[in-house]
Order: sequence, then structure tokens, then C-alpha cells
Amino acid sequence: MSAAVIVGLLAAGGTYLVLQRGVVRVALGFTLLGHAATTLMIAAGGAGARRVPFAGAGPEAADPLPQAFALTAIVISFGLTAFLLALAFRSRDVHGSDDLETDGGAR
Amino acid sequence: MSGLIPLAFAAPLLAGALGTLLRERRAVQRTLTLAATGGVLAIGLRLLGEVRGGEVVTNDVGAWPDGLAIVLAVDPLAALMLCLVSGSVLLALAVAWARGEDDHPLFHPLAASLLAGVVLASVTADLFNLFVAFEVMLIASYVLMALRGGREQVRAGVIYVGTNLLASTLFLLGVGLVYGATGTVNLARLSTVVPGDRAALAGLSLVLVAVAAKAALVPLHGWLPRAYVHAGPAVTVLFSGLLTKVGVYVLYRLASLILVDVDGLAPWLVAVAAVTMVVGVLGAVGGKDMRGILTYHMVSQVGYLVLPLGLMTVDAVAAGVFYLVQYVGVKAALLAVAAATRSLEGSDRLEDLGGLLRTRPWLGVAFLLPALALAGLPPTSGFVGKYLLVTAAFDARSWWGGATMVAVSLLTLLSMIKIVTGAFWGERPERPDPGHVLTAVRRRALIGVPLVVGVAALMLGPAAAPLVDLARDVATALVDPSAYLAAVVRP
Amino acid sequence: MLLPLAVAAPLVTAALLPLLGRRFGRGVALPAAAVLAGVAAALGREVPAVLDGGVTTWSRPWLPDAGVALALRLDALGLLFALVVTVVGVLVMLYAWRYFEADDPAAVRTVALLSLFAAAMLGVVLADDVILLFVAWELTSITSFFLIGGDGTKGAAGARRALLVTALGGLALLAAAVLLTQAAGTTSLAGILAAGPEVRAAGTAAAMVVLVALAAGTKSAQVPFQFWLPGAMVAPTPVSTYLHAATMVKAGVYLLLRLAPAFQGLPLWHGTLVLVGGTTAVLGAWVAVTRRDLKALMAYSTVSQLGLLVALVGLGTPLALGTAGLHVLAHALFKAALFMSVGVVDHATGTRDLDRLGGLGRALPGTAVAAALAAAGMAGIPPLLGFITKEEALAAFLKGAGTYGAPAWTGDVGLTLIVVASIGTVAYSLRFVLGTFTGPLRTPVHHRPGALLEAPAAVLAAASLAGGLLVGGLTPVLDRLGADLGGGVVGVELKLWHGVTPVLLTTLGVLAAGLVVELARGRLSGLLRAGRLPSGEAAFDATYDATLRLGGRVRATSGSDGLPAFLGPPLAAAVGLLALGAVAVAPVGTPPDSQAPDWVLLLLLAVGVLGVTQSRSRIGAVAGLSLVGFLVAGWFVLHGAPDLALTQLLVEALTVALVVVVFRRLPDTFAAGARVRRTVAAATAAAVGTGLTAVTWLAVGRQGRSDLGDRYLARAQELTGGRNVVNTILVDFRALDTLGEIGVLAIAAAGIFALIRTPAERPLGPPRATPIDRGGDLRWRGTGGIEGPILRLMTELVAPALLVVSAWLLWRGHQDVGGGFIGGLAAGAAAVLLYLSQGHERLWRSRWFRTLPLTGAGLGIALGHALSGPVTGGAFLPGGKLSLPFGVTAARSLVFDVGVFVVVIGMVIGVLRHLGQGLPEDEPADDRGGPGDRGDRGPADGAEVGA
Repeated sequence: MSAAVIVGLLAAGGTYLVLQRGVVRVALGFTLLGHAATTLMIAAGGAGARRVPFAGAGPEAADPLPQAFALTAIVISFGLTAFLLALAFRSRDVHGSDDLETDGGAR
Repeated sequence: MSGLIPLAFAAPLLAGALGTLLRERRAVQRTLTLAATGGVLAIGLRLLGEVRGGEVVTNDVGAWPDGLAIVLAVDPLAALMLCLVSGSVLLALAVAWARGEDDHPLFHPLAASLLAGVVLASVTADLFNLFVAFEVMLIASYVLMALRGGREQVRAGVIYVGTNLLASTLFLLGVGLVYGATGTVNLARLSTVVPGDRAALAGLSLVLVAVAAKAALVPLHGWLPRAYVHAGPAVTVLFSGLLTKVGVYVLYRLASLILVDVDGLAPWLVAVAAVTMVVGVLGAVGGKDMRGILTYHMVSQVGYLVLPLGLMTVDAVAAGVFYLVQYVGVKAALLAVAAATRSLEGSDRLEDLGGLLRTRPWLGVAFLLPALALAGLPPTSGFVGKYLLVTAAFDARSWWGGATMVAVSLLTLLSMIKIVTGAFWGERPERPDPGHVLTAVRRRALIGVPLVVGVAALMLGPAAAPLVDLARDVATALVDPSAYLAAVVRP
Repeated sequence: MLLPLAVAAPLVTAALLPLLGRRFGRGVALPAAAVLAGVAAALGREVPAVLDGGVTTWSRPWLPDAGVALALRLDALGLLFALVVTVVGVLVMLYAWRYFEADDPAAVRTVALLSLFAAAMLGVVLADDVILLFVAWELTSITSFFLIGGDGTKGAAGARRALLVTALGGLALLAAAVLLTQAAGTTSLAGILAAGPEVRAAGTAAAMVVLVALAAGTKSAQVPFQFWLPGAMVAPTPVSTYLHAATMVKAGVYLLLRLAPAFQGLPLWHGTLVLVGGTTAVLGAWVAVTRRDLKALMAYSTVSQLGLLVALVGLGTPLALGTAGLHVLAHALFKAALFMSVGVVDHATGTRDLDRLGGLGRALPGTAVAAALAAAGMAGIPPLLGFITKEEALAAFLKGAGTYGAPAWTGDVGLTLIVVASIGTVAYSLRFVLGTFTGPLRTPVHHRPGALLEAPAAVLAAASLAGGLLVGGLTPVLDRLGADLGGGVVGVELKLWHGVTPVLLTTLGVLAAGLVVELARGRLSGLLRAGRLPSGEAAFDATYDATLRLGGRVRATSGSDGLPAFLGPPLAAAVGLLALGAVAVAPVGTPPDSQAPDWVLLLLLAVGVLGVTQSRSRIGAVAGLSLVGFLVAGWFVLHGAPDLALTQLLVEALTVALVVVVFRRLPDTFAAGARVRRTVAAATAAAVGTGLTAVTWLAVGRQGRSDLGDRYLARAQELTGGRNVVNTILVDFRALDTLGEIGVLAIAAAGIFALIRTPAERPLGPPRATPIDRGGDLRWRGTGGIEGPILRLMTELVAPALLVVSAWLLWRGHQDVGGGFIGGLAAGAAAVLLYLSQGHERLWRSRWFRTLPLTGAGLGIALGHALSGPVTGGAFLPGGKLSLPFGVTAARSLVFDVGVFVVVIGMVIGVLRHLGQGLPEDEPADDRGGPGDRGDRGPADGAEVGA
């Protein structure tokens, strides 16, 4: 139960942030969404068995595969967040702020 | 077991890695990228020859037993995809060189990495590995998108990155749910389990949202026209052949393996495809610059490509595959013309142009031929594709689907006429000519690339039979994926 | 081989003419004419055989799977049209040769396109495959588009209307073709006609009739689509003559004649055609009477005549169909002659306005005679061919539908409409001749046409006369067409004098009435003015503009600068699907248990999330973010994932450092969004959160560990020698994922590099904290993060220690918590310390302590390991052992992990170096590479479509 709530909580926080003004907050939002995905991944392995999955850890060992997935996902989303922050950094140089929203950019 | 498959991924990635190390040596970079892309093309052709008959070659990466390894698999569609993407990369590289866009020290490494991601996405038979492949492809495209870091690149870049990041997150959440419900990420295993398992379906539906967003299906399409017009013109050519096409490819794969067994989904697919066609073409009709019109057409064409998945007959899927092959070339050619126009005239806005058919007749021909194909007018390949699609739709009693395609092609023609009358006819408005000074050879290349493709599109109409046969082989393997399942499934 | 050659010859000619154009200019018209003459002669030799019912066919497969073939077929109908196309074509080419000025650049383009059009038109009338017919049909529309548009300076609007209207019909034809193919089971026209009963019985028969009528109606300018034809008159006279009088506009009539046998007997078919055709005939004639521009008059007259033809096809008796065929011939002769004469008049006087014309009979005798003869034919005055075909048409309607399937009323209704139309025809024919050639001379001839320009019209007029005098020779044609198309005997002997018959009396009445109308025009003017066709043109333009506006609105939906506009749809879709899942998923198995610590952690996490989301200050947000990251790591520990926890912590530290670095260049507080926006965002967030919670709860983690997971645990050590199963999955079993992942890192580093190194429109502003100088050999002060001796001493000690630890973590990864990532991130942390403290210029200046070399090299190392397999005949990303010096052995995948290690270090350094604005990474030389694109520089592009 707690796992499901945590996933939802992180996802909600992330969703709220990505809908705000300012690239940095959006980046923070995606970090939270990333957490939601990784926690979901671990929960998917079954929150019951919690022993560290080393060889011979026995029946109580957690499912190692989701852990590997999650680890990969964490690193990937870090790379993406870093790039997004670089965009925010850049936008400060070309727009003077990380808030790129103007009224009706409709072409 | 074919050792070639992972090489198709490793070659461009290695080219990218070495390219970053040698980023002051443009010539070396070009050679590396060309070699890697040519390698992918060669592998694709070779594999296509092997699997054309319908068998499937696989590679358990690392040769680990018991289904512990990631399985890569190539069926006719995957092999065709390898040829297609590498081919369109070659086109884009030519345009990039002619416009001098590949003088950026990172252009070639990024283009190569992009190709690597696309290749992996095309050959993997593992849902999580597909996620990784998408990310490789996307991060490369993010950087290419914002490469020159101008005001609009950054603005559009944030929208592009943001939208696709959300899609990727949904993908990951979906994978988590799918694994949690089924305990596997092997596509063959999933195809047997998922359709009957609602929990897994809930997860897969999130994956589908992500893929649909990458394929730019309405209403998840907005990012594409918003962002593409701000990338470098040659980069747009590169994207048009790769990104949305991979989304479509994955939709074909998932449809063939899983979606086809999900009850009540087909009519929705047809409806979404139809809406996508209409919205896309309307956006194109409203466009005021060549690229603005052409990028919205990408959305519309995605509709054409996805509609067959709602019918899932061999005829329909074959028509879709034929359409895809010829369309990738045609769209690349048209975007190349837009890129050339920007280089030669300094703008591709219709209001800035005029009389090009008089002043640059070859550019005119280079535009008209693929434009006819895009509008599905005979005798071009585009007509054959449209005819096959409409026939397949009517044969499958999908009257509305067929009618929509027919109606949309009229609007497509309208948008092309808009370009012809605006840019190629009439008089060029008085304005200082900011056209870039290009060496003669680059100028010829700039016009020659779309011209060659256009002529090919023209020839491919009367001489369509061989490609239609190939498309049928591909479609047969998709509609009855038993060979793929047998080859890919692991304990 | 005759048939393919007949089509190919003008096609090839069209391709060659532009090459000759450079040298011969308008002279290229002569070879074009010669080719068409050759084709005409070759076809002519077939006449006797065809009249005996002989049929020639030729076929090559095109799309075998779809049964579509390049099939051609020569029968009476096809031959009749083919001869019209080629013979009139010859004369038009000769006319064009003289019509264009010697140096007119339009000449070559026009002649080449005319030749291409001739090929397409021959394709239409000779095709025996309904798809091939469509192809040729569309080609005529496309060539017409470019012929009308010319160089697009004045013809654009007319060309656009013509193409879009005819293309609409073309698509209708395509749909009809597909339906016909379905019903008949073949794309062969002969096959479809043979399968008439099946076609008529098909459920889609009505749709087919409507679609075919739409196709023919647009092409042959029937009400309400007639407007494009007058609009097309901006084209030069040879084009108007050939396409818009003699041939292309008849393609619709051809289609109807060709398919008549298939639909014979369907009331919808007969009724529609008679009504549409009759109405068009009347309205066309009516408007023609009121025109003052000769070309417009002729255009509406053509509309009217086409209406007559369509009505005849609608009646559908053998006599009607045969007569329609003959009237196509008659109309081609006299209308082509009339257009050419108008062209001559225009050429000579510079005007086509009846109010400014008159008395040209003396100045242009030849043209006057030709025009008068042709006009007489149009009005149906003996002894011209036009008289005979008009008479037979009236006769057909007087006879009525008979037993050939058309509703009885069609005869009388048709007759009435045709009689009214004919009266108008007589009136405007008189008007044209009298107004142009008699009376006082208004505009003098200032530009005398050569005899060669006048000749073609004369030839056509003479043919029209001869056709009338020798009409008996046409009787077999009438019989053959009647038999082929109407499936019955015509039983009419064509001759000038049948004695006094109802038909003759009708004709005389028509002539008299026409004369009256023309003489009384002054008094009738009010009535005549009332003659208005429904203005399709206005409707078309309105639709066109509305479409463009709609398109603009569609574009606006994707024009926003705000992310929410683009994140909304996918989020909405996700919420919807999650809700669906929450309803549909039935939980199976046992729910995963939760322990007390989980709940504590959950509460703290809630606080952290609130902190990140609600804090107005950037520092508060960062604090919240770090707290969340820390707690998530803790949660991982609780769930037996130490590798994950460690990675999470280090990534978190790095992310925070990054955010801080960026914040240093930004205001201290966030821009507060509007209240509405915050509410919407909160609502969406709540929806996503609850949905995801529900689905996770219902769908996930209830079956416990998966078989796959069991197998990894069971076999990892034996297969890889590694004890840390997660790590073995990362570097051995699923190393491909990891390879892609470090690829992502490397590319992201490159992207950061590119973004920061590329000069912007505005030069990079310095961070607020410490001014930096981007020059090469300045005295570098770090970014001054850490001050004070103790702290500095600490870093001096801690950093190297961290480096050692990181190496150790890398080494033991396979066996215990650690590995390439964690090691790399630890090393990165060390780099952070070295970076924040001062006095390490030399280290930071070294050639290899830089991002792209490190990421590139690391990726290279990993790929080297991957490829070492295939090179040594093993697997890609191979497993196995590696023997190191001093008898130490390790898993071969350690090499791979080293690659990972290096990439991660490079990434970390890149982040700090570039975002932190420490030392410029490369010599200025590198900036050259920045946006050095000879194409448009960043700014130019940036400005581009943006505004």
C-alpha cells in the first residue's frame, strides 16, 4: 500500500511542477516524476521480499531485475535533467530568464 | 543467431564516440558517419535478403542462456526499417554538408548517435531495451534540435524536450506496470500474456501514449510542428526520416504482436488516424512558410501510416508499408527543397518568394515531382500508395477511413498549390537578397539531392511492382507474426 | 504496338521539345504537329476495321497484386475521340507556331505542355484499365493547371480553381474506380462493362453513379462546377482551343459514354444526367447571349454544348449515344475554328470586346468566312455537320427513352431544355458573326495576321462543311457507336434532307426564335440580364478562404510558448487510461505488505514534496528536492536495493549541485504562475497521483518475485562469477541497456557542451557570484565556493581519498555494492570538491581532464569491450574471465564497467565545467567550430519563423 501511495505522491508532485512557469521548476518536476517511475519499478518487483539480492540470498531476496531497470532509469533521467537544466541556463543567456512563456506565441 | 544485428547498433554509436574525440577533424568525422551509416545500410540489405522469405533472425546479446539476455530480432519490417533510416540519414547528411550545417563539431557525432538509437529501437524485442533505445535517440535529437542555441531554438527546445520527457516518463511507468503484472519484458512473451491481462494492459496503454506522442498522433502532435521548424533545415530533414517514423514502426510492431488481439481497439485506431490526417493537413494548409507547411504534413501522413493498423489486413498493412517507404524519401526531398530555398533565397516564407520556376527551374522540378507524390497524384509513387490504401480501406469496408484519405489528399494538393503559386509562380517581391553564397558544387548538391529523389518517386509510380511485392512480404509477416514469436520467445 | 506508340510518341516529344527550344523557339511547334499528324494517320488506318467492330488491345502488367495493368484498347468510341485529339492537335500546334511571337519564352513551354497533354488525353480515351484511365485523367488536369497558370503572373487564380475543381472530380473518379473494381472484380474497363449486371446490382451502385457524375460534371464544366471553364480563359488561345473547347472538357462526356453500358437502366443515372445536362445547356446558352467578351461568350457556349452532350448520354438510347459521339466531333470542329478566329481577331485588333468590334469582314475576309461557317454549324444551320447532329439530337429526344431504361419523362424534359438552349445558341451565334464582322469598323486592324495564322480555322470550318455535305459517310459510325454503347440498332440514315418531319419543323422554329431573340435583344435585355448561373466561383473562393482560416486556427493550437499546452494532452490521456485501468483491473494475488518504516518515510516524503512544489524561493525548492531524494534513497534501502540507494544519493547530490549552479544565474524567487493555472495544475496532479496509486495498488507486486528474477538470482554467480546480481545484470546480462544509457550520458554531456559553448545572440552573462574571464591564460579563481583554510584542508584530504574509494567501488562492484556508476559518481564528487576549492588550475587545464575526451573515451572503451567479442569470434558484449597482472583475475566485463566509470566522470566534470562556468574547456579555436555553419547562423535561424 505505502509503495503505491509513494508512487502516486511523487508523480503528483512532479506533474504539478512540470505545469509551472520556468524551466528550472519543470526540471525539478521531471526529477520527481523520475523518482515515481523508479519507485514504481521497485514496487513492481514485489515489495514483499526485501533482502539484498546477492547470490544465495535465499527466498527473501528482492527481485534484482527491477533494481537494474531502476538504476538505468535513474542515470538516464539524470542525463536528461542535466540537459534540461543546461537549456534553462542557456535561456537565461538568450532570453534573460528561464521563463520562456510569452503571450500567444502562435504563428 | 545473427551477429550482424548488434553491429548495426554499435557501428554508428562508435562513430559517434570517435567523432566526439576528433571533433576538430571534420573530414574524419564525415568519413566515420558515412562509413557507419553505409554499414547499417549494408547490414539492412543483407538481413532483408535473409528474412525476406518470412523467417526471423535473432541475437541474444552476450549469448546468455535461459532468457537472461536481451533478445534482438530482425523480421522483414525491421530489416526494411534499417535500410530506410540509413538511407534517409545519407540524404540528410548530403543536405547538411551542402548547407554547411555539418560544420558544427558535434553534428556528425550526434547524427550518428541518433541513428544508433533508431537502429536499436528497430531491432530490439525487449520492452525495457526499447525504452533505452528511445532515450538514446531522443537525447541526440534534443541536442541537434537546440544545437545552435538561438532564442527560438531554446524556446522550441524546451517544448520539445519537455513533451518527450513526459512521454518517456509515461513509457517507464508503463514498463514498470507491465513487468509488475507479467514479470517479463520480452515482446513475444508479452504478446501471449498482455491481451488477456487487464493489469498489463493498463501498463501497456501508458506505453502506447508515449509511442503515440513520439509518432505525433493527434492530439499528441503539437510538439512536432512547434519544434521542427526551428531546428536547422538539414536537421529537420534528418528528423523527418527517423523520429516519427520510429514511433510509427513501434506502433506497427505492437499492433502486430499485441494490439491486434485487444478487443474493440481497431475502430479507435482508425478514428485516431483519420483525425490525425485531417488536423495535420489543415495545419499544413494554414502554413505560411515551406517548412511550416511540410512539418504539419508529417502529422497528416502519420495518419495515413497508422490507419492500416486499424484494419490489419495484409493488403492494408502492405499499402501502409509501401506508403511509408516512398513517403520517407518524398518528405526528405521536399524538406531538402525548403532547405535549399533558405540557402539560395535566404528565406522559405512564401511572402518572401516568387517566380522561382523562372529563376531556378531545376529547383522547381525538384519541388514539383515530390510535391505531386505527396499529394498522391499520378503517375508518382505517392499515387500508388494512396490507391493501395484507399482500395484496402474500401475492401475492409472502412468507408470513412477511405473517404477521409481521399478528401485529405485534396487538401494536401491545395497546400502544394499554395507553395507553387506562392513561391514558384508570380514575381519575387522586392527585398534585399540575403541568400547565402554557396560554392557551385554545394549549390548543385543542394538541388540535386531532392531532384534525384523526386525522379525516383516519379519512376516508382510506373515501376512500383517490386516494392509492392516487398511490402506484401513485410505485411504478411506482420499480420501473422508466428515466426517472430517463435524466434523471440524465451522461457 | 500501335496503341502504346500512339500514347508514347507525344509523351517523348514533350520531353524532348525543351531541349530543342533553345535553338528553334516557337518553331518547336512544327515537330510537335508532325508527331501528332503521324499518330492521326496511323490511327486513321484502323477506321475501317474498327467500324466493322474490330478491337485492338495491348497490355502490360503494372501492379500485378492489385490486378492493375497498363492496358490499352481501341474501339469505335476511343478511335473517334483519339482522332479528334490528334487532328485538332495538329491544327492547334500549327496555329500556336504563328500565334506566339518569335521570341516569346512562353512558346516552348506551352507547346511542350500541349504535347504532354495530348499524350495524357490519348491515354484517357485509349485506356482499358479504369486505374490507368484515372492516371491519364489526372495528368490532363495537371497539364491544364500549368497551361492556364503560364508563368503564374496572372493565371494563378484561374489555374488554382480549375485544378482544385477538376481534382475534386478526379478523386470522385478514383473512389468510383475502386468501387467499380470491387463490384466487377477487375480493373479492366472491358471487364467492368461486361459485368454490367453485377455493377448495377451492387449496394454501392448509387454511390458509383453519383461519383461518376461528379467526376464528369467537374471535368466537363456542368452546373454548378461550370465556373472554372470561363476562368481558364486567361490561357493563350491555342490552349483554350485545344483543352477548353475541343478535347479536355470532353473527357467527362467520354467517361459518361464509356460507362453508359454499365449503368444503363439505373433511373438515377439517366435522370441525373438529363437534368444536369439540360440545365447546364440552358443556363450556359442564356449567359453566353449576355457576354460581350468573345472568349467568355465562347466559353459559356462550350458549357452549353457540353450540357447538351451530357443530356444525350442521359437519354441513353442508341440514337442518343451515337449522336452524342458525332456531336463531339461536330463541336470540336466548329468550336475550335471559332476560338481560333477569336484569337485572330484579338491578335489583329487587340480587343475581344463586342462593344469595340465590328466591320472586320472586309479587313479579315478569310477569318470572317471561316468564323461564319463555324458559327452556322454551332447554330445548327444547314448544310453544316452541326445542323445534322443537332437535328438527330432533337430527333432522339422526340423519340424519347423507349425501352432503353431511362424514365419516360427524360424525353420530354430533355427536349424542352434542349430546344430552349438551342434558341439561345442561334442568338449568340448570330450576335458573334454580325457584331464582329459586319457593321461599321470600330477598331482597326493594326497587326495583320499571316495567312498561316488564319489557315487552321479555315481548315476546320471547311471540314465542318464537308462533314455536312458528305454526312452519309458517317452513318456507319453512328450505327457502330449506337450498337457499342446503347446495345441496340440506331436505324437512322444520316442525310441532309429527310423531307418535312417534326424534327425539321422544330429546327426551323428554333432558328426563327433565335433570330427573334437576337433582333429583339434590346427589348429583352432585362429578361436576358436575369440569366445568372449560380456563382460557383464566389462559393469556391469563400470555401477556399474559409479552409485557409481554419488551417490558421489549427496551427494556433500548436503555436503556444507554454509547456502546459503540450503536456496537457498526454497527461489527460494518461489520466483517462489510468482511470480506466483503476476500474477495469481486478486485483489478483496478495497485496504487498507495508512495514512501519514505510509509513514514516511516506509522511516525511509528503513534507519534502510539498516543499519542492510550494516553496516560492529557489533555496527552499532545492532543500525540498534534496530531502525527497534522500528519502527515496532510504526507501530503496528498505527494499533491499543498496546499489540503487547509493546511486540515488550521488545523483541527487549532483543534481542539487547542478540546480544551484543554474540558480546562481537566476533570480532568487520563482515567477508565481496565475492562480487559475496553479489550480488546474494541482487538479491534474491530484488526478495523476490518485490514478497511478490506484493502478499500482491493484496491478503491481502481488505475485511476488518473477520467474525471471528467480533465474537471475539462481544463475548469476555460476554464469558471470559475480555475486552482486544487480551489478551482473547491469554489466553482463543486460549490458546492452547500460551501453545505451552511458550513450545517453555522453550525448547529454555533449549537448551541455554545445549549448554553453555556442555564442548566443547576446554574449554569455557572467554568473552573479563570481565574475569569470573566458580568456585563455587568466589567473583562475575557481568559482570560489569554498573559503577558509580548514575547509580547504578538508578538501585536500577528502578529495584524493574519494578518488581512491571510487576506484575501489568500481573494482568490487561485481561482487558487492558498487560498480562503474557508483564509482564514477564518487570520483565525480571528488572532482566537485577539487573544483569548489581553489588552486587546481593545472589539473583543470590538463588536456584529458575534460568532458568530451572522457565521455568519448569511456564510450569507446565500453564499445571496445562489446566488440571484442565478435572480433574474437565470440558474442557481442561477451562474458568470461580476464587475467590481470600479478595473477589477479576479474570478470571480462570489468573493462565495460571501466568505460561506464570514465563516462560518468566525464559527465560530472562537464556539468561543473560548463554550467559552472569554470575554465573554458577548449582553446578559442574550438569556438570557431561553434555555429560555424556557412548556412544561416543561429540568430538568423532563431529569428526566422519565430516572430
